[in-house]
Amino acid sequence: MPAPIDYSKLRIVPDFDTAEWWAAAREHKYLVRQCPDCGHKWFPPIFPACARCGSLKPGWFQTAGKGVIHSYVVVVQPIVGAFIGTVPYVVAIIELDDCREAGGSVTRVAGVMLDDEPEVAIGLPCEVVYEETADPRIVMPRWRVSGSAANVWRFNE
Amino acid sequence: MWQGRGKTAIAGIGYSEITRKPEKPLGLLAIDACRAAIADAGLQARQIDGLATYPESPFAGAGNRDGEDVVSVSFVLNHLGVAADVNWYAQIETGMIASPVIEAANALIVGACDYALVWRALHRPAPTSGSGAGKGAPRAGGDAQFIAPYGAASIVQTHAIAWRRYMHRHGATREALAALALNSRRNANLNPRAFFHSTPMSRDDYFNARMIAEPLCLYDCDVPVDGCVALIVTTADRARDLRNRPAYLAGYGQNTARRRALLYYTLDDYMACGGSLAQKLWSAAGLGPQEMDAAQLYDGFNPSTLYWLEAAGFCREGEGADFVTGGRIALGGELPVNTFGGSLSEGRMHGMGHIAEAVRQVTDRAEKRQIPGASAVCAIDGSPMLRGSGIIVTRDP
Ligand SMILES: [Zn+2]
Repeated sequence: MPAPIDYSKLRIVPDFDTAEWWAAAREHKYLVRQCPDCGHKWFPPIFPACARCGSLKPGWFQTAGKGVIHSYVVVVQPIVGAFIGTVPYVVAIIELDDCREAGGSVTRVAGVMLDDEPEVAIGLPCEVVYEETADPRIVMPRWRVSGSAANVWRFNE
Repeated sequence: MWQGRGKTAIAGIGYSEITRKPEKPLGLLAIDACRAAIADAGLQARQIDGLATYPESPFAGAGNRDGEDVVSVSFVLNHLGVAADVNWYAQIETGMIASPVIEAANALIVGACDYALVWRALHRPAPTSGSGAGKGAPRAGGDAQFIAPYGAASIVQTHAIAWRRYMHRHGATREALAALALNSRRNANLNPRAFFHSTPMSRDDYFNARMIAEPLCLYDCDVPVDGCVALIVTTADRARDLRNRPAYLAGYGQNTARRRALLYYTLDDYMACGGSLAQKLWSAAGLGPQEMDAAQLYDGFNPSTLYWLEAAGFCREGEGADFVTGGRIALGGELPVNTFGGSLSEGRMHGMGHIAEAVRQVTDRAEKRQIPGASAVCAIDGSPMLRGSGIIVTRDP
């Protein structure tokens, strides 16, 4: 059984663009950026402008934290110190159900799956869960498989 | 067609030692490569009046000391004994490895310099540098806030995610990557500069290799080395008076499409983004994929070669896996690919090895790998959904 992620080996430093995101995560809310002018959504919030219309005043959208696994990797060789005892683990790219936009684009987030990795597959629905860390300022969203692949929405490639 | 077509040429190639156990700092390996390129062209260092490089470290967070981790224009200007009054230089961080060659060509065409030296020096950082693995609590700020806490600090993991999506989307299997890796190794076995020159690889070797980021294994990753490759670029007229047959620069393209995926780029838009480069490349040269005698396609991670075959139009979208099996990409095949062994087997020279081999092929200098009479060869670097630059070199102007 792999060890838990050792977040003490990672000093997460929120900044001007991201402090509100981390504050929301502490309250178990998952935010993505949303443009107040055209509605476009994006993640992560490190990009301070709307790529669609150029608006420079991004706001936030609180997603329900449900989505579909777009693709994933099983990390075998750890690179980040906090994960040395955790291999193998799955990093998934998740397409958020409530962030689909006209024209086929969708907001994607990344996250580490919980220990239900053997079940992971492209197209499976999943949902966010929140993991407390030793640092009270940092709550980490993780993801778990939440159903079967029937009737999942497909990204327009 | 590009109005500069055939007006410049690559006239010299220089390699340093390519090694995983360097006995000197990267800056001195770069000087070795630069001197070798100058000598290969039949020039003297003091004739070099243009300098250009793509200096970037191989990954975010790697070291940045000049002459140790990177080799800047300033380092070569100060340590090579080039012209007392250099007329032009550029340090490019957009596009990729072909970009400083492209800039040099355009500078030469307008008369900004006479002989440009272009190099790419790459250092193999210590395995844990930049990640802080096992060393207290490294800082995760900026982009890293949304990468490091997911244990996904390496681009190999990003490529694994994209490749899994490719397999899902197009029904491909690891057989396609095995075919590419084995092709590159066979070619490297014919390339005396290749890191794996004396090491053959079997299909079993490939499938028994350990996973790094499943579904990518060790042999899907380029081999990190210390080394430098340098080129001499000059005007076609000057090149004809030098020692070697010139490899004329027929056209170039750079990846300029806007990608939808932000930090977590996956397979998205590999056709559109790669196509933005390829369309410019083909139209600049007035040539198409069918006219290439070989293709040197970037393989920092193995799937990129497959993506380029499709994005550049050598086959249709989703047909890359079929294209690379059955001997078509081998020397003697319909479209020889990475005839020098690629970054997978020659070593991580970030696309400079690809350019050097394209030059060798159209100038009859490709040793046991020579494609008889090769007249046009492309070299494309980068991963199409992310970035890239490419050139076509030709036997005749
Ligand atoms: Zn907008």
